Amino acid sequence: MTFVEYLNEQLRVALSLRPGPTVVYGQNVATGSCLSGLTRGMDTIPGCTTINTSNAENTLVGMGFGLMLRGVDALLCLKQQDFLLLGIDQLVNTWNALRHRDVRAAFAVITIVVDNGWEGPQSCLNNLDDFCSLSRIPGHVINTRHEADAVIHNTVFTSGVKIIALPQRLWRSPMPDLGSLPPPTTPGIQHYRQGDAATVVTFNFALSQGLGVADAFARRGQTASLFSVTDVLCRNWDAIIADVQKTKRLIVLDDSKSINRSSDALLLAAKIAVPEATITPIRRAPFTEERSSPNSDSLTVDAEALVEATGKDML
Amino acid sequence: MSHVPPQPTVPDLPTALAVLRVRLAQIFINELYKAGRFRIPIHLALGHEAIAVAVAQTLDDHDILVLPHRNLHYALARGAGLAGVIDEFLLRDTGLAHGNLGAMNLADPARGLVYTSSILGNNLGVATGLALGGTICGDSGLTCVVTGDGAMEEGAFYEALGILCGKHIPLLLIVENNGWSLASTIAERRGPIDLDAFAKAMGAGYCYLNGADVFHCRTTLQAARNHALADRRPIIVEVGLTTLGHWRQPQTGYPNGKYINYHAGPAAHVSISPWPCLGDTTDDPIAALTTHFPEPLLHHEAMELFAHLQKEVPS
Ligand SMILES: Cc1ncc(C[n+]2csc(CCOP(=O)(O)OP(=O)(O)O)c2C)c(N)n1
Ligand SMILES: [Mg+2]
Repeated sequence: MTFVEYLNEQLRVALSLRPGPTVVYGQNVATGSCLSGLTRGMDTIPGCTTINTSNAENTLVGMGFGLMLRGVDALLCLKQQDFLLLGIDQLVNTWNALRHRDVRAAFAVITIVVDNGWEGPQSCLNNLDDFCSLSRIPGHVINTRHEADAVIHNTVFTSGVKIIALPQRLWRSPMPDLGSLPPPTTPGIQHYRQGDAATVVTFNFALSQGLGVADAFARRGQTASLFSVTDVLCRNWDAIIADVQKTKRLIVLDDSKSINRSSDALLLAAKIAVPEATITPIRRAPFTEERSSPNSDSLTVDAEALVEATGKDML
Repeated sequence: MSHVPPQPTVPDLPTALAVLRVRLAQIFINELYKAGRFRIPIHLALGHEAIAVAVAQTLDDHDILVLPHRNLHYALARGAGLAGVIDEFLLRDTGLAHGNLGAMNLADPARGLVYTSSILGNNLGVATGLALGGTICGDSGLTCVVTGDGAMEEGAFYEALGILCGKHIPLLLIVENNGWSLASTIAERRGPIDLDAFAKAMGAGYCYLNGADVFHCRTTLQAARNHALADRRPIIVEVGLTTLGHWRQPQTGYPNGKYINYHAGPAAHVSISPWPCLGDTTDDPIAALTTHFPEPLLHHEAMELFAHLQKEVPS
């Protein structure tokens, strides 16, 4: 099953379990390709109203808050994260005035991150950190089946607001399934592998690169721990720091285009808690003038070279 | 007041050839697109040629154009060479914008195409500033901004008009109304908007253009330009047109197949031909030319243009 097929299936399951009315809305959610398959079939779920909306993102975000206040679950789906910029006033100001209200319904904004670079400078956002930083609304990413299950079944329809980001890069690939795992000890952090040579932590959609690094260790007969941080506002690093205390080597991979990355908080915490550790942050090249034209932008990691460069602190 | 060189008031062959050139150039681009030569998304504007040629002929050298995601027809009509456009789409240094802008942000300041945005509604604010700046600096040029029936749903449409009317700023606001926004029709996404009544309510002028007929477009647009400058106010120019390149998908319940609107990407069902007619006189600016000129003459001219343009296409 592809990434999008799995998301669509699980979202439909979650929607059909909702006890009250739900509205799934956004541009083309129930027509055409239905956001490349993400929202297909939601119009036939009992209790679920789908609305193909006009292009009015500021109002669409405001509507989600209004629906939530009325006790109606709202799921706003946007084809690109870029379009959520038009709703930033609602995300920041409306939520600031409502965050202490006792709301029972859910408002989830699902955005697809189309950051391949080819769409040009106004359609390449991969900046969930920034949306969450401005609005202090929880943000979640999905890289694997585990993460999809956790986000869709434990988060999307919990009361309150949240922003979910999905990687278009994985859209038609088989949904990554990393086997059975114990439930995460820290909500928002998936612990995929245990090891002692290094602690590899991925943020945003860098898990596939993180797996590449963990595999490079394995090819040398070594093991690396592998964590994926899926909750942007997560600041509980205890499990990761405990692992770094053991491995003394931290590799952080983050493909976010933000300058305010939540991974920076981990780097700082690790530097303070384990000063003797070697810390290697791997980020995307900065968004320079040159890179603002259409290009093949992505986070590239030379896993072999990274594993070889032991003992080199790059922080 | 900005002066426009007098234009023929009767149908003239060079204008018909300009329409044919914009169509044929797009047909060549589509062939390369179908062959997988472009990595960037392109919104072809088959069916939009007449308004683009009319705009190019109505604006003078000081006038400026501000464009949206679908802009290729304006670049071509305003004089961009096919080779330069293709090279831009191939992101080469020899491209119209040195390969920096691609398709969705294609601009060409030397030809008055000052700014282009892929974000709906985004260009309306910028155009308002350009128009205001022009009046402050005593620049005689008029600003012309293009939007769509979908993009005008953004609040910026209303906001820009409010400022333009309030400050008595002349501007042409062209609404290319093809009835679609991606895969949804106007009726699917909102109620109808009577732009004539809306313009009146805001204090703006209004005119409607049959987008299939270049000569009708030109005459009406020239009058609109003169009114905008004389009355010092924006004029909404609604252009009824059809984006060609649609196809019918076999589907149960649709005896003739389901109509699939062309939005972007290669127009798979459009093939190369020196006589590039894709519709009839009501929806295709090429077919509409035959109501003004004998068909054999147009066919002959099209053959010559075809051979000429072919030389600009990379092998
Ligand atoms: C703010 C924003 N929301 C959504 C989109 C996605 N989008 C790109 S083109 C388009 C359709 C626009 O319709 P219209 O303005 O009528 O232009 P057309 O494509 O029909 O020529 C949409 C929804 C976008 N680019 N920007
Ligand atoms: Mg449209």
